[in-house]
Amino acid sequence: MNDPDTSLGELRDLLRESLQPIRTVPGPLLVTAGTALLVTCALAVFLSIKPLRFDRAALGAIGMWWLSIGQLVMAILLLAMAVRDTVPGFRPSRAQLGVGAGLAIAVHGGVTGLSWHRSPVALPETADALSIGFYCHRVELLAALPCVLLAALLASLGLSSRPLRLGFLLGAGSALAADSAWRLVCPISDPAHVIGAHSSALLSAGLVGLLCMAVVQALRRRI
Amino acid sequence: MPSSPAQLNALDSPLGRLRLGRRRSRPPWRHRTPDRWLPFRSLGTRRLRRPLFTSRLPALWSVLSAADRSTDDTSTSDEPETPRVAEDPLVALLVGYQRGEAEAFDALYDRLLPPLRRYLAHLTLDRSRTDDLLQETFLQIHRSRHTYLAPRPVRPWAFGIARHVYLMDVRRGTRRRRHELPQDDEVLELIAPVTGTAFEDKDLLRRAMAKLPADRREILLLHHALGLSHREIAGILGIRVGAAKVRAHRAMLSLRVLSGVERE
Repeated sequence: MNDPDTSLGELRDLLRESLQPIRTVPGPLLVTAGTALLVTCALAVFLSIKPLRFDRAALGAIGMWWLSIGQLVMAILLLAMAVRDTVPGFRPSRAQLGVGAGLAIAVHGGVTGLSWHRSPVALPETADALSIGFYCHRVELLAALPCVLLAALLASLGLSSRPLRLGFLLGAGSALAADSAWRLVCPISDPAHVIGAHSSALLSAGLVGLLCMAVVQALRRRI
Repeated sequence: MPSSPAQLNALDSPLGRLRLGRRRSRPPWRHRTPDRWLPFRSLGTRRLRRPLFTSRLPALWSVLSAADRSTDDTSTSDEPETPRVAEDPLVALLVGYQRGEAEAFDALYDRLLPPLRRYLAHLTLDRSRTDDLLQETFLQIHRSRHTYLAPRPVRPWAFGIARHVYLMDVRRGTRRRRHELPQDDEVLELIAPVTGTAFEDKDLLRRAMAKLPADRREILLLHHALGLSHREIAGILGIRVGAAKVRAHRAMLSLRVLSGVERE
């Protein structure tokens, strides 16, 4: 059996030999600011392509823009919280994560309820609710995907003790940001549609983020 | 018994300060309706008359607080929340390590090795496993040194990595029973290295520490022996600062019970 002190000494020599200058990862604040900028630019481009919902006059500036901005801010906060989890020794507590996730759900629910209150637009009875719902779900998921991948890449540079939970938060945060833009396009404020298509996209994006982090962890373990 | 705020001030003790604080914060209408508040007041008085850690465990407390504690804070409420001056060299060393300076690496290694060994010994209660995890921790520190952001305190970062390594090891299925007592005296020595007291006290303390559940042992080590603040501990463990304080308090109570100083 090897003497542990000898092994530690050997390890120390090996580490000393492999020393070289390295660049530190950007801090959580910088990562969040960069992601927020990217998300905002992407949303601006997205909204310049797609026409805005027809009932924007009924919603008013608050129901249209400010609710979306509020949801976007909440999404960025969620991403910030998740990114902070990657710095060893400075992890947010479970309670903070729970409060963040709960607030995100509350904000999303509140935005849905207020939109429905101000402009109750439901799907016509003749419309295929399933295919329209699936379309909204797919668009939100695809819009969130680049942000999920980027955030997962940045998070994989750090060291998280809870990578799967982190991945889920990254995915849900990205989808919340995507939803803050898509709700400006999709005119259907019926809660059944919003929960079935838009909210479920949050869950799906969360699962995608979770999957990304699981893959990253598996690759890291193999390396 | 002091009756005026001035007399309470003169006491200069956490107990005195607490009582003074309560008296000042109590609004006048509460004096007019004492019966309504009696249950709460009596509960508060009972709590205040019983100091948290200091009175009934003098020998063990002095042993524990003497164990290479770098600061003199003795209560959970007076802890410093800012990085200590003693950590500044560590920050400079870690920045040097990030730049690839061998001297900085050597000095940092020498400074981090003893506390990390003790921390891992607390978690594992197994000498060989401690040494394995220690190697793994230094390897992980080397790999993750780019995640350190100066001028944050170094020790929470390093302990966070050590904890990550330990948890990964636990998840790999090499977990031992929590209350398993170490047979190795060297591990016992690591658990509570103490100086300047009778051997019986040290031995009693070590045995009691070894009997504690891992999470309580961990928080006792981090706060009372290694001198980390509750905020730093909360960052390492991923819990709220208040939860860290409560855990430290409960751990100390368990230690008192296990050491036979106080009955359950």
